This record gives sequence, structure tokens and C-alpha cells, in this order.
Amino acid sequence: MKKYIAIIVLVFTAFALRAQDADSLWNGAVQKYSEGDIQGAMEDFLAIEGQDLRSAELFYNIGNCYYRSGGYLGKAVLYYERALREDPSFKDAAANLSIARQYTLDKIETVPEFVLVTWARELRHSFSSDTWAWFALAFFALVAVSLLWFRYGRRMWLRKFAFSMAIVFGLCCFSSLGMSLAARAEAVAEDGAVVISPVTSVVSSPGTGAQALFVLHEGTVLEVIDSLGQWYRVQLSDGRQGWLLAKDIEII
Amino acid sequence: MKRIGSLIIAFAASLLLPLNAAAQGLRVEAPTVVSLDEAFNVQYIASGKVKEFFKPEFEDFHVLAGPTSSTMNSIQFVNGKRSQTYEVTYTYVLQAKSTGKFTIPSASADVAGKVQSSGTRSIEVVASGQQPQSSPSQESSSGGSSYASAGELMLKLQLSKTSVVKGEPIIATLKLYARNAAISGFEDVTFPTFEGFWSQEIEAPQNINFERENVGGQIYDAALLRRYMLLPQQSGQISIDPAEIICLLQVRAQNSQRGRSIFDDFFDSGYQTVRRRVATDKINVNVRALPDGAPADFTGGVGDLNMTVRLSKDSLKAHEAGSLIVTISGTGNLSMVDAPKINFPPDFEVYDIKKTDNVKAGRSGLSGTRTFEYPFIPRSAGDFTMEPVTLSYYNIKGGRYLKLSSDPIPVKVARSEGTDASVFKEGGINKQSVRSLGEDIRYISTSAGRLRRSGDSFVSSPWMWITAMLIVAAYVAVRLIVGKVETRRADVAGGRRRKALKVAKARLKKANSYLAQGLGTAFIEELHKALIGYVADKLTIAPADLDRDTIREKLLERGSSQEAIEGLFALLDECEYARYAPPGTHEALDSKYQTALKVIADLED
Repeated sequence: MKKYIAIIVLVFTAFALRAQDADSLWNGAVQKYSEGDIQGAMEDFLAIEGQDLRSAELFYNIGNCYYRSGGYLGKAVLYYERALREDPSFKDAAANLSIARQYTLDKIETVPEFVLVTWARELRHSFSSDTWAWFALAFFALVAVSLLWFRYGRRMWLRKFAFSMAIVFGLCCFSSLGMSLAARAEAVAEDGAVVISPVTSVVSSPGTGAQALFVLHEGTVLEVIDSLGQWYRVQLSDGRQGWLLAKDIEII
Repeated sequence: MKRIGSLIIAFAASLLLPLNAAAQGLRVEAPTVVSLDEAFNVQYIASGKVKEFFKPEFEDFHVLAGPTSSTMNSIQFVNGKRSQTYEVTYTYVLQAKSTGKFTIPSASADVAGKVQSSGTRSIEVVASGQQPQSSPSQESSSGGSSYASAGELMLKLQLSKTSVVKGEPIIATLKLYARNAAISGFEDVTFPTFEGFWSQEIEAPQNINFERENVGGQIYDAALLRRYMLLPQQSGQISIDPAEIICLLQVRAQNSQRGRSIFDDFFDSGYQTVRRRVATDKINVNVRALPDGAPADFTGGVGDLNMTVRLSKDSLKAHEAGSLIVTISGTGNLSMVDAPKINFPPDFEVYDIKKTDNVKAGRSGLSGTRTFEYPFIPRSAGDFTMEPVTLSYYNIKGGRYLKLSSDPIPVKVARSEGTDASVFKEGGINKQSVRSLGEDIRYISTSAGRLRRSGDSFVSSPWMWITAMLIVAAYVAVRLIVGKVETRRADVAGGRRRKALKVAKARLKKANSYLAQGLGTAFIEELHKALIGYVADKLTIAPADLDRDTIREKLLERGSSQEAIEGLFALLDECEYARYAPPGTHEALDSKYQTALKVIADLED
């Protein structure tokens, strides 16, 4: 029994120490950044990321560090994208991403999308996965309240109203849960990538000696469809496809 | 009086004395290059009257003759001004003992009461078998030389450097070299165009003076034609086009064997003019680009520069024009330096930059100042501080970029007196939208947010299910609690019904005790309460809602007999009647008590 307690205490202190470590790293990094030591700040932020910890703010700050150090446009875009994956409603990350995008060389036309799809995505992106999950729980609680009201309501019309509200809240609960699951799937999905090397050529088939199709530059966002060894099959937002080497891109 | 006399004497003396007394001194003149077997002149020239001449000691030279002295006195009137030159020249004829570089020693002389020293002159002695001419004009006049060739001519463009960085000044010297040649004139002179360079003539002598120069052990008469300063404008290999010149040479005629008449000899001097074209070689200059990593505030300056920044006025008023003056001084490619970029505070209207150059081209490049004037008009009052003006330039000596920076410049703008008139004009002020001065990324987030493991999200996590379960549990709990409360409420009615007889009996007992004490009214009151309370409890209706019809209906529902109900109503009527009439005798009251017991017992069945 004593042994188990000791182990539990040990595990908890390890977690606490680690959390404290990340906190002090974070504060030190913010301090360094404000003093203009971008390189030092970046190392600290990356150390936090190296502890397998993540948050939208962390990715956003790393993106800022890369942007400020200059010459790492691709990395900056990558980390802003990661921050937005983590929290699609992160306004600062969206603003900085659009600024970083202004400096990328490739201009790619996007295929027009059905307006409802855009709306649905924008609605989903207005909150993070966790927030949607909390919404689902809140609606679930409202369903319960409505059902209680329906059961013990004194007047007939109020009870009818409570019943219809229970149905509405139930639908809201399910759609919020769906949004949350979809947002998490989107965040976890490894289907996006950013070009990291200054210039890379996309070829028609994996392996050497293939026909070069087009040339991409640092900071361009791609969709990853497939992978084969050292090669990724990618698709541009205008629909063009090709293969490129894994070392030239980084998965968001 | 005495004073005026002395003034007059001084004035007279000033008229008599040589005017260039200030330029008194002793100098030495000698050729720079001589050949070993050549007799040459060395002259010590004193300007002013010489009292005594101290002879120099020539150790490396044979003194063939001298010193011979000659004096020269010239008086000039130019525009009514009289100037007099008086010179005494001591001439030595020397011959060198051996080849090499030597020094003509210094002589000294007592010139107008002051001992002056001439200074030394360096001289180079070359081993040349030929007797060179001291000057082409001499040669043409002496004319008796035996050779008929036109002599040697060379045109050379000498560069101070052939490998430079972009913007580094190069001095190019165009010289004509002649040997044994009698040059009588020039035709068709083509100077190089210096494409790829910014060029400026430093020297362009009107008279061409030949000076001796040693070129590869040969003595040439060299004349400076032009001297340029070049600033390379582009990097890479730049070639300079050749310069060309056609010299007119006097050559002794070769056709003297022909039968010559006396007239030929009289009219024909025996010389003819020959045209000779000479050109420089093509010269390549290797211009390196400036190293990478130029700072953002580099505007093309190369050399050694300084910068001063000032405002035209210390204090300004709003809507009043002022200017910021940036002066760049030093040596280098001053004419190539662009204006540094200055960030004026917002609400300053800035106009076109005015450039003023005060630049001299010299041997070390351009030197002087270049002034940029930034006119501006502040449109609002306040204390502003302009960011320091910075300018980077490439320092050739250090081989790196150096940064010049001024202090932050405070600008005080006072409110203008005319503010009311100019700002609050009719029709209101001009609204201006908030201008974006620049675009930059937003600042980092200072709070860490919720740091968590990767792949760790709230949805479908145990915590979410636990929360959902808690909600379900809460729902179930509410249902259970509410249900229990309902049954308890139902029990209250049953309990009341069950206790109805007990309560009625207690009340009847109390009424009986009133009867024993002889309190008739209180007895009737209590009896009535016992009956009404019993019925209300039994039927679980509020006593206020009691009326005969409800009671009858409810009691019939409960299955009570008609006689019992009639008995109850009769007793209630009697009680109500007795409350407003004298209570009656003890016996009557007692019979009422007995009737009440019977009615309750009947209803209970």
C-alpha cells in the first residue's frame, strides 16, 4: 500500500514539475521576445513543443518567432496553420497568416466552392473543437431541463412548448457534437502541408527521372492525398496534382 | 605730428620695396630624370635681394660649371596695380657620377635679411647611351641632329587601381610620352568615354608641359593631357575605350639629294610635318560588387563619410514649414549617395527632397559635402520625437559596412495662432480616415493557453462522458426527488382524513369540559368547530370552500347515508342558531353533544 502511494506521489510530482518547467519556459520566452531576442524565445517555445505539449497560442508564438527571424516564411506559415488547426477561431493567427501569405511567391487560384459548404466550414471554424463539445453538453443539459418541465409543467401549453424545446435542444446537441467531432478530425487529419524549402519542383511520378510539372515556392499550402516512401502526392487548391519529396514539405 | 611723419615714411618705403616681399624664398629646380652622361642644369632661384648665397655640397655629382648667377627684375602693371618680381638665379651644370636615385642637396641664402633654405630635390639617373633632348622645342630649334626618324611616341592611360569595389574612386591619368620627337601640334583628339563609370576631369591643363620621366630605363618627355576621377557604376569587368590622338611631328626632309635650288633652301626649311596616330591600350578594370548583407539603410555611399542632422528651426508652429537638413561630408562617392530614408512623425506633410552638392574632385575621390533638405509641414501641434536618422556606407579601408546614426530628433510644434481660422473653417474640418502607416504581424500571445498533450481533446474524452453522465444523474435525481415530494403531499391528505375523527373527538372533549364549567356559548362554538373541522378533514377540502351542496355531494360520493347527512346539517343549523340565541339549559346542550357524537359516528361508517 505504501509503495503504491509513493508511486502515485512520484507520478504527480513529475507532472507538476513538467508543467512548472513549461510555465517558466513560456514566461522566459515571452520576456526574451519582448527584449528582441527572437532566437532565444524561439528556442524556448520549441522546447515546450518538444515536451509534446501543444496549444494554439504556442504554435502562434512559434510562427511569430519564425516570421521575425526572417527567411523562414514557410515555417511561419506552417505554425500559423497549426495554430488555426488547433483553434480555428484564433483571430490573431488568421491575421498573421494573411500577412505572411502576402510574401509567398506562388499565386494559386482556388476552385470556387458551393456557398453552403463555405458557410458550414465558417460556422465550424467559429469555435474550437472543445468549445463545440461544451456546447453539446450544455444543450444536453437543456434537453434534460426541458424534459423535467414537460413532466411537471402545470399548464398544458407550457408542457407542449417544453416538449418541442426538448426536441430542438436535442438536435442542437447532436449537431454541436458533430461539429466538435468534425473539428477534431480536421485538427488531427494529416492532410495539409506547407512547402518549407525555398523552391521545389513537383513531378509527375515518384522517383527520379520523372517529368517536372510545376515549381512551388516556400510558404505554399498543399493538400496531401497519398504518400509513397519518401514521396507525397499533393494537390494544389486549383486542383493540380503531382508528387514531391517529403523533405521539401512539412505536414501541418 | 611725429606720428604722421613716420606714416609718410612708411608709405614711401612701401612704394620702393618689392611688393612681393611676402613671397620671398629660395627654391631649387632640376630635371627629375637624367642620363648618366648628360650635363644638366640645377637652378637655385631666390625671390628677393640676396645678401649671401651659401653653396651646396654636391657629393654625387660632378660640377661642370657654376654657380653662375643671373638676376631678373620685372615690373607689371595690371589694371593699375603694380607688381614687381625680382629674382636671382644661381645655376650649376652638373653631371652624375653613377646611376641610381640621388638627392640634389639643399642650398641656403640670406634673402632680405632672412636665411632661407631651398629644400632638396630627388633626381633619378639612368644609364642611357643616347643624349636626350631637354625639350622638343629646343630640338626643333637646334635642328642639327643627324636622325631623320620621327622619334618615339606613346599615349598611356594610367589607373591608380585596376581592381576596385563598386563606387571606389579611381584616378586615371592620360599622358603623352615622346622621345626624340618634335611635336608641333595635335589633331583629332579622342578622349575615352569611360562607359560604366561616373567620370569627372580633375586636371585639364591648357598648356601642355613636358616633364622628363623614366619609363623602363628610358628617358621620355611626358606631358599630362588629362586627369580624371572615375567612379565605377556597375560591377564586373569594365573595359575603357582607347584614347586616340594624332600628333603632328616635324621630320627632316629626306629628299635633300634632289637638285635643290637656292630658293628651295630659302623657302623650304628642310622639315616636313608628319601625322602620327597614337592610341592607348584597352584597359580592363575589375569592379567587384559590394559584399552581400548591406544594411537596409545603405544608400550607395562608399568611402569615408560623416553625417550631421539638424532642423532648420528649433521651434515650429503647426502649419508652418520647416526642414530637416542632413549633411553628409567626407570623401568617397559623395555624388552617388542617395538620401537616407527618414520616418517623419505621422501628420507631417513631407515634400520632395532638395539636394545640394559642394563637392570637389581630388586625388582621393570626391570630397566635400552633400546636403539633403527634407521640407515638411507639421499639421498638428505637439512634442514629437523623430527616430534617429541612420545611414550605412561601405568603408573601403575596413572592407565593411559602417553605420552612421544621429540622435533622436525632438521636434516641438506649438499651436499656431491661426488655428481657429484654419481648422475650424466654415463647413467644418476635413475629416481624415485613420491611415495605416505600415503592416506588421500581431504580437505574440502572452498567455500559454491550455497546454496539453497532442491528440488529447475534450470531445469523446472520459471527462466529456462523465459530464454527460452527471447531467443524466442530475435528471434522474430531480425526477426521484420530485416524485417523493408528490407522494408525501398525497400522504398529507390521507393523514388528515385519518386524523379527522381524532381531532373531532379532542374538540368534543374540550366542548364537554366547557359544558361542565357552564360556558354555554364557548361549548356551542367548539361543537360547531369540531363538526366543520371533521367534515373538512374528512373530505380534504379547505374550510373556506365548505358549502352545503359540496359537502352533500362529497359525502354521498364517499357512500354516507342520507339520514346521517341530514342529521349533520340539522345539528349544524342548531349550532348556528344557538350562537345568536341564549344557549339554553344544561340538558339541551348535553343532548346536542350526544347528537354530535351520533352524527360523527354515523358519518364514520
